[in-house]
Amino acid sequence: MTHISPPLLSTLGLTVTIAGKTLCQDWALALNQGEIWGILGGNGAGKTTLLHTLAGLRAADNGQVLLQGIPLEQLKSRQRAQQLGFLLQDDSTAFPATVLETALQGRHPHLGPFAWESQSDENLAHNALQRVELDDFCQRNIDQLSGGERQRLKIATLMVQQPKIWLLDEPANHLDLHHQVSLLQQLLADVKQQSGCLLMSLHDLNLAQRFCDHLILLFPEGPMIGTKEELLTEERLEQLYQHPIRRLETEAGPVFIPA
Amino acid sequence: MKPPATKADSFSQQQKLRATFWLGGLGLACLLSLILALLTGSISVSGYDLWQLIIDTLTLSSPSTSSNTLATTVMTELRLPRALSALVVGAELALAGCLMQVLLRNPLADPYVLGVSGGAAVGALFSIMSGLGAFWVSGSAFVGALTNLLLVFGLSHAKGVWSPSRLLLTGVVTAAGWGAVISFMLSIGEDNQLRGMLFWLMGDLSRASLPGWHGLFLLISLVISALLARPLNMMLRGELQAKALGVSVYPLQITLYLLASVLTASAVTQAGSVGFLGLVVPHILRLSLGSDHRLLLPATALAGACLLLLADTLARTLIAPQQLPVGVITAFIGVPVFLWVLQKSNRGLT
Repeated sequence: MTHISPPLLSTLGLTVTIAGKTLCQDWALALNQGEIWGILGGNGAGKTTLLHTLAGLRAADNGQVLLQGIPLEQLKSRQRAQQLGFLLQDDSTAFPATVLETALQGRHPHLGPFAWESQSDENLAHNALQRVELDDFCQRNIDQLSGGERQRLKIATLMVQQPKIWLLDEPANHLDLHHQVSLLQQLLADVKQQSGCLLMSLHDLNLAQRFCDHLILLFPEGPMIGTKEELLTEERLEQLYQHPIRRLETEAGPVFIPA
Repeated sequence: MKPPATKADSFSQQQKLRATFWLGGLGLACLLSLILALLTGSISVSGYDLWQLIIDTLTLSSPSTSSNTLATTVMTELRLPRALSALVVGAELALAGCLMQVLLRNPLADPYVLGVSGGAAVGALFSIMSGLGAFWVSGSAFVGALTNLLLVFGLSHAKGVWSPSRLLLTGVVTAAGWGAVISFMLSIGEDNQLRGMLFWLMGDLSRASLPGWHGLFLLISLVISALLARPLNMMLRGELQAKALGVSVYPLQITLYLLASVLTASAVTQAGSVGFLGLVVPHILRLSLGSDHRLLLPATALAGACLLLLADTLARTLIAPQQLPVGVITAFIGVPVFLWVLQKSNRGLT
């Protein structure tokens, strides 16, 4: 062990079950500073459930999740949210709110109970909206945004939250090719700037190849952990998705296509 | 087209200005309605009498010789307690409605949707049927409301699974149950009691006395709701999103449920089940002010207070000397105003 400080996010004997299915049993995971992790798995493999458990949005059946060595349940929700940010798959527009208001909500864990957002909070929000190319929509109501724009707004809210540990549930959802790449690049830059770590579930193997250095493959028998080089092989991926997959070497790096 | 906001005046600065403007305006409206309520009625009171009364009260002097004692008595003994009650009840109902809408994640929820008023009504009607006095009617209404609070809470928590939609269903069905009991009581009630029972059900302030502890409770609720305001903003984006941003969702939901229920219980104890106010006021303000609860909650309370007082002043003067139950007026005003605002906001969206 070369790490003197505890890992940013780790688990201890973690067991997660959903609807009678065991996702992982007595499982240990450690995410360290600077690491970018991906979770791959088929539909219903439990990517979201696992992410929610790691973020404390859902209770584990057994074992612990630790944030920088401190068990999650010993932290107040607000303290947790100061360190750990989560990108949800779904969002709600039942009540009206503007784009700027929504982005500013990312400051919530950093503000006292009666405080209003300060000028610097607002600058953070404007800056994030600019980076996701939504700064022209500040006063627009969120129910007037397209699916991709809403996804970008959620990412901006997360950037405004400035966590150290970033958990993203399918960040590439609804995004066009340009935004998939440019927003993931932006997010990775933020992770680096915060000296943090990132864990995201992905469906696109090529995004995983391009952005991740470590992977979790969710097999029915349990999760498999390893580096990208170990796990992104035709054989393993075919086993994971139950579908033939080809790896092609191109000048832009390896590319995966379903055969 | 609006000009793009300049970067110089910041958004939160603008928000604070807007809040000051709206809350100041609504507070002024409350004050004017109070003056109006004190001055209008079957016994005429002049502005001078009111001025004299204020001066006497402020200087703590005994009524000066020039003052009109009848006018003073009418204002302090009859109109002021009723007007203050109207302000408190209006604020409580509107605030409870606003909280209930966030708790149930439904912009169409009102304070009565979970059966608080039904429970209170059964208690109140029982007292009226037993020929008990006003104190007992209020008391048993409060007991009925609290019974409903515990019943719905317990039932929606049975088997440990809990969600706002489960709470809503449990509440709606319990309310329907109370409705059946109310119908039964009305059908066996004696003719001379029916009028009192119906007035209670429609919401009526004619029996109201000084708000007393209800007013104190309203003030405490306003402070609590100021603490809850930003977490409530997060809740609008969904439970999980609120959790992800560091809101302790379950304790917040319980607080919301208790606060909204007790506010409603306090309101119906004073005035019976005044309709529409708790649905219409928060909704109208949401459409015109947006949904930042730091502004919305106090604005809703002030607007509810002002509207109920105006409605009650109308109720006792419209066909004087006969008095109408204020619930009739709130419905008459509330429905068209609500539809108008809805139409207007639809135009704004497209």
